[in-house]
Amino acid sequence: MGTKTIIGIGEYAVADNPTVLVTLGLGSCVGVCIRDKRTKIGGMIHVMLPEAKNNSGKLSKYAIPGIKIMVDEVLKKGGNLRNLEAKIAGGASMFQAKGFDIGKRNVEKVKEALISLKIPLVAEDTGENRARSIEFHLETGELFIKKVGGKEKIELSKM
Amino acid sequence: MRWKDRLNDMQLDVLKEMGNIGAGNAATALSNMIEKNVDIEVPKVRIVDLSELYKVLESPEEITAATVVAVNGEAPGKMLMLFGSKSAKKLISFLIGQEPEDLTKLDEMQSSALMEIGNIMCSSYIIALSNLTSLFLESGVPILAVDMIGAIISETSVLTAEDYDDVIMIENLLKIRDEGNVNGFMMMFPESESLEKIFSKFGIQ
Repeated sequence: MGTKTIIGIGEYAVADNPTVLVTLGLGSCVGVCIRDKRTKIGGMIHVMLPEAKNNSGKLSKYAIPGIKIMVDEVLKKGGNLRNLEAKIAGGASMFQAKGFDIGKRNVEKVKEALISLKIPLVAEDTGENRARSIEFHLETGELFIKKVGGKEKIELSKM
Repeated sequence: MRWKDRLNDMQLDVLKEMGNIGAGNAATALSNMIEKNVDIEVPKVRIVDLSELYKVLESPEEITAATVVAVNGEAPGKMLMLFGSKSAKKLISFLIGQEPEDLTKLDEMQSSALMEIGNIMCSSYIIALSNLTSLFLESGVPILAVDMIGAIISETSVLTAEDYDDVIMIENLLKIRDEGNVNGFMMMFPESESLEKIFSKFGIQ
C-alpha cells in the first residue's frame, strides 16, 4: 500500500506511487486530489480558504493559488498535464448557520481553479453537514472517505 | 503570521486566568442546572499550528457533541462545549430523564436539552470574561454539531484563524463529581485582534 503521508490544514504534498495521501477532519475545508493516471504521480492539498488576499503568507491555505502551486510540482516531478485527473471532498457546513457557509465558497473556488488548469474533475463528495477524513491511494487513484454515520459508527465509502 | 513567537509568559498567564474564571462560572451554571457538583481542572493554553492540529488530538475520530457559540462584541471569538458520547447521553438523561440511544440521531427534545447545557455554560463563561476584561461581549446563537472531534476542533480553528497560521485555545476540563467519567471540555478560541484588546486592558501589550 505504500507509505502514508498525512497532510495538515493548509498544506499539500506531492508524491510518487505507491503513496497514500491522507487528510483528517475536513469540515468546510476541501481536500483536492490530483493524479496522473499514467505515471501515478499525484498530490493532495487541504484547502482552507477560497482565495489569498495578497501574495504573502502560506499560499497553500488557499484554493487560489494553492492548487496551481501543487499542480506545478506534480508536473515538475514528471506528471503530464493531459493525464491529470482530480477528485475532491469536503466543503461541508458542519455548523449550520449564517456566516458559516465558507465550505460552499471553497468548493466553488476549487472548481474554478481546476477549470482554469484544464484538469477534469472525475469525482466529488462535497457539501452536506458532516465532516470527512480522506485517503487517496496513488496506486489505484481511489479516494476513500470516512464520515460519521448512524449508530455512532464511522462509515467508509470509496470513489 | 504566528502567535507562537509573540506571546510572553505574562500574557499566557492572563489567558489561563481567563480560562479559570470563565470555566469556573460555567461549572457553577452546570452545577445549578443538574444539581450535582462540578469540578474544574487547571486550564491549559495551547498554541497550535494549523498544519499540526491533527497531531494534538489523541483520538481525532471520536464522536463528540459540540455546542458552538460565537463570542460577539469588542473581543470576538468562538467557544466550544464538548461532550463525548457517554457524557452527552448522561447529561441529557439528567435533564429529561432518559438516555438517548444514538447521539447521531437525537430527537428535538434531546438535542435542545444538550444544546441548552452548552449554551448556558458558554454564555456564563462569556459573561465572566466580559466582567473580567470590562469589554462588551455577548454570545451568539448556539449551534449543535455531532461529529468527529478532530473535525470540530479543526473547523472552529479554521473559522477563528483566517489569516493566522496558528490558533490559541484556552482549554478546561470539567468533571461531574460522583458520576464516574462524566466530563466535558470547554474551549475558547479568541480571534487575533481580540487578544490585543484583552492584553491592552491588562496593560501588558
